[in-house]
Amino acid sequence: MGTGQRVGQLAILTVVCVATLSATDTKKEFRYTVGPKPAVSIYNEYGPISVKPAEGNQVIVSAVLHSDKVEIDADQNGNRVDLKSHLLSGSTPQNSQVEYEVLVPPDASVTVRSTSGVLHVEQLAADVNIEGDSAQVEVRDINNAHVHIKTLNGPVTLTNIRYGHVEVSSVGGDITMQSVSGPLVEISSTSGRIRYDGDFGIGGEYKLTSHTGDIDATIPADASVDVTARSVKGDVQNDFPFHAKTHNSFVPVPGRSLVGTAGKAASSVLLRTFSGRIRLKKR
Amino acid sequence: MTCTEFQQVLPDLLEGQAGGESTAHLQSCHACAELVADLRAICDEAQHLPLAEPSDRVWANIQRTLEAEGLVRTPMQAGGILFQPSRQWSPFKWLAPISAVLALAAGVFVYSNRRPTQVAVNPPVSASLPQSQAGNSGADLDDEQLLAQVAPPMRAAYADNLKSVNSFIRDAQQDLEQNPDDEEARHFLMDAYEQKETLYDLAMNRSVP
Repeated sequence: MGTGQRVGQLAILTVVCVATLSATDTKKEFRYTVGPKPAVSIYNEYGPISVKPAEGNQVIVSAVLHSDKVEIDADQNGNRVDLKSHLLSGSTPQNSQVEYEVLVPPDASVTVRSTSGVLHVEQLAADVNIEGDSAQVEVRDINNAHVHIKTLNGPVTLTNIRYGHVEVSSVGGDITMQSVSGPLVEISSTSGRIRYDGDFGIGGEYKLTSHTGDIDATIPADASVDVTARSVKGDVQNDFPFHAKTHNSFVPVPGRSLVGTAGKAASSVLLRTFSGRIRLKKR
Repeated sequence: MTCTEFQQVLPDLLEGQAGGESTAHLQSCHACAELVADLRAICDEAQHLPLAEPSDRVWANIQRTLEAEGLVRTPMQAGGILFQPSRQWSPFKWLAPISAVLALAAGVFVYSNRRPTQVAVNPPVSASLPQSQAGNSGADLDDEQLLAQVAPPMRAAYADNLKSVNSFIRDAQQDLEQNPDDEEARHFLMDAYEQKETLYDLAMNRSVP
């Protein structure tokens, strides 16, 4: 048998397999007309949810169901749209997966929950609430809004969040922030690693806390911050040229804690861990 | 006579003091006839239950406790006010053995029907708990109850993270004990509890249908 024949057979087999798999998939679409600042919630037991903005005053939901062991309960009450994956008898985490793609007006506040899959929300100017157990959370390009996230051990990535009221709590998941600024940014994890890369804004309060997870902060030379970093049992490493503070609420221990300011010290930054390592780096 | 009116004179009927009207209703109403037959069967069975009188010491202990709590006054006779066996006939006397039998039957029914299902659906949670959490404190019991509500595929992950959070709380408590005037240590302990709150929130939200 020639190579060409084998490739051809493999291609046919692949097509048959894909066709067989997709034969059990069901695609559903829901459309709702809403007013200004609608509230949209999507509760998915298993599977990804993607929320993106769209022009107009409609909420458009595309859902792919991977078996007949799950159905979607969709409901609109006034300016509120609720969608929920409803598990049926015989469902398992594998066969009850639903993939949601949701388009909402940019001023829609969104609540998203799933055990697994990627939970992705982007380009909104309203509040975002996300809960996921092991789900991977990605939030980007959110302005002037509350961003509240809770995960068990799912990693969280925040990118380009401006003027946000950001609260992230992940028990075991890593939390990564790129260009995230307050007025308020509170990040906490028990064993996850916390990474911040940004300028800490102007005039905000930032609090990054962990138990055993490391905390890394990379800031530009022109940052305007008042930093307090303490690790009870871990190290504090710094290569940023902070100015020393003369009046502190505690006596800094070299290698374990650090207190300093940069620029006009506009933003307050508190980094605290029990046994993790804190590292401050200049970008 | 309606069924409701009949049920009001049911105790008299069971005591053998039925009037003609209730007897007529009993003959014409199949449902009430079945009810009376069932109650009579239970009464007959209840008569065979062994009767054990609690000892005087038991009554005395109960009386002393009630007196100590100010719920009763000093006894007026040697046997105590609790031990005053009434010889007066009560039309509701028959309710006691019936209630006992019904409660026993309900208990047996519930136990025999639920036990296998619970074992099949929710294996003993303590088995999935880390050894360090299988204690008897209130917090540990709360944790066990929480884990019992978590779906089996996620239970191990929750148990692991619960262990981490409890460790966080312990460390933060020790840190605060060593630095009682440190305001940040106090906040740190609050952060640790908030982590536990996060975990509980997630688990509870998951368990809500």
